[in-house]
Amino acid sequence: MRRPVRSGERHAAAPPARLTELPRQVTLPLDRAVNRCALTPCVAGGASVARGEAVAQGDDLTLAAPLAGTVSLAADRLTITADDSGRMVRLPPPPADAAALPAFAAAAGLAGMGGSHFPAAVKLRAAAGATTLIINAVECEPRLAIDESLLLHETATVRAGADWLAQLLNLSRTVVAVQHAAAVRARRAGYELLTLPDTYPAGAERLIVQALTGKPLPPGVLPMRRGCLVFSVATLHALGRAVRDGEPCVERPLTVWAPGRTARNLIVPVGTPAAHILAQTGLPGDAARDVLIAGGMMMGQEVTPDFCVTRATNALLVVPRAARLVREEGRCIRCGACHDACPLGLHPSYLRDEVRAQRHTPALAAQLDDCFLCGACAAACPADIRLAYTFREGKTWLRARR
Amino acid sequence: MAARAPLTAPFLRRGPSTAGMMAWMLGCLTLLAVVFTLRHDHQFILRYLFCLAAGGALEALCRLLRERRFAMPRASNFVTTALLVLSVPARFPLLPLLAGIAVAILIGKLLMEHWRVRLNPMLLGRLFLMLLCADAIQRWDTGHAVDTLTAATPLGLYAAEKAVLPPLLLLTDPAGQVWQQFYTILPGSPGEVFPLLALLCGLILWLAGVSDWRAPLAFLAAFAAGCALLGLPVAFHLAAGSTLFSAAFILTDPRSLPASRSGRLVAGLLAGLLNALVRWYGYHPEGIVLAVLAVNLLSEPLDALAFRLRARALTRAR
Repeated sequence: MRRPVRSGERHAAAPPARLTELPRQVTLPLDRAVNRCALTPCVAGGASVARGEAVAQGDDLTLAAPLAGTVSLAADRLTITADDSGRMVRLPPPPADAAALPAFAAAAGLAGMGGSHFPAAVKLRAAAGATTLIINAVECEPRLAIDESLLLHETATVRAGADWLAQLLNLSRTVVAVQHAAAVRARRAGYELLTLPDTYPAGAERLIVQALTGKPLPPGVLPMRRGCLVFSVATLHALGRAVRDGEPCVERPLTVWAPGRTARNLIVPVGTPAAHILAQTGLPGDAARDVLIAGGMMMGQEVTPDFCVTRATNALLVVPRAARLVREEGRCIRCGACHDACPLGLHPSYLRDEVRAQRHTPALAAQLDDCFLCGACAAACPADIRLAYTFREGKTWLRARR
Repeated sequence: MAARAPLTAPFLRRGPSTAGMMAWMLGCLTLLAVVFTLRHDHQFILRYLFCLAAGGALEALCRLLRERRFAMPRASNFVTTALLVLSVPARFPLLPLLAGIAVAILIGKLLMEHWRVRLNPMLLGRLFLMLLCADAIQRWDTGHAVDTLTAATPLGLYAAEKAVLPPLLLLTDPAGQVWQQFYTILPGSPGEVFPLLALLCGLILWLAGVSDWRAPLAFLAAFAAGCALLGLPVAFHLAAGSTLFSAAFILTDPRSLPASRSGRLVAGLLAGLLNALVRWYGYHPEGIVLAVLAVNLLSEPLDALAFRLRARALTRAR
């Protein structure tokens, strides 16, 4: 039978640890594509900043320094070289009024840490009318375990963020979305549980809202229409640090996984080079032997060791450079495996033909809009056709036509 | 050294590759060929292997002429050849068989791969053989001297005398049995002599993630319903070798059947009903050929319809 991609890992039992040695330098990208909004540096090159001090600002997001040190600016990035001073700047006390919540979220540098990296301030601005807070603790990718690890081992911090948010927005219900395999352990968190299958992409926001409400959530329709406010457990963890400890979002929880070698959950400063993290976890890396992937196996990207962790980076995977990673695209044999794998019941093989032929029909537009590029179709394709890549290009073409 | 473009996600594949799928299919078909060789005709395996080699050589030659380079034949080529060899009598004349293989590969695979119409290549080859050698394609023997007046395959026996062999006997290779002390049951085509084995192979292919269950199950269900409605013995026809061989290996062809779930269900249903009609009307031995080829013509429209219906459902949900 055609088996789906499974997610959920045994090493979720490991509590997230912090690096024993901090990096000497961190790099923060400023470009819009990474941050989902334009950011402008608010410090000059050569300035000395404290940890937590704002270094770049946009309308809905602030970048804070993960380390105390000296700033150097480039066109699209900001680098901080550590000075070991240990200086720190804390956030002002959290507001007691829901109207001030978006501004607080922006100042704290909160963005969706479940993969979207969407500024939380935008989501919170539209939160009026929400009745349910959904804590998304479903691992969004195979091999990851950081979300469950945060839920189980950083419960107090997650609760600090979630409970404060629920109280401020007057949300009547808080639900934790977890996978079946984690359900028993997740009861310790003390929230109402929503269990989802141990298959990818169960962690997709749309699928979680659909599972909770029983109604499909079409693209372009926010979960708020169903009265749901969804945040990943990592985002609420960051919010908890902001609310309880006054610390802006300067850290990123992630999973480091290398098959047969290590599987660890870490919390690292944003902007830490991947090479530093790998060295700390005993994975010096061999570019000839291994492929370094930032993100997950399904939607991540191949990166080099000088890649710097962003707030969207939920994993660093070190995978042997086996032949199957370098796959030549074959011919579509119309087996329908992609259609079976699609969580939304779309028709990837047919859609691919339509996109390649650039036949702009309402049916094409409807299916392409619905696709959220999870890659389940491509993983199921026996011919290794890069379906998600084709659909990404198709969405760009469709946007240009509209 | 030029920089390599970064690899793109996803970085894992779930399920077999195309070559892996074909290897599974070929393995199951070869199992049938080996068992037939051991039980009925010790020379059959040589013919089987020779035909596989001939089919492969033909494709390699065509691609050499077309693409100006040598390329290994695709695994699907061997599957098509194996299916055709197993679906005709073991002593079918070799030259016409090779011609049928050539039609299946040249037209069914190499020519049609660029067309929107997707016909099952093996059935195309068999249709060619039906037209070319209508008599030889229905003649089964073991190579030993038998009295053909009192010998028949199970379905041939039913067509001539409306005699129904017990389904359990049908499933476990009735060939060689003396039934009712009057008929010697001949082996049919090598692929249909062991229906139980064909059924097991079908299950194995499904468990391995190679084939989808919808079309074969819909085919069997619709065929059973059609037989029941038309007054044909249901268990007998369901247990017949050609039925189960078709369900396991022909109604699971990914290329010629619809890719959509609903399309596969509809295709299976239609093929089953058509096959029942052909069996009832005159017991034409090529019922499955006609039924599946007719359904193949609908594959593309069924997929297009399923695509539009899904899009409409998505639009309504907004």
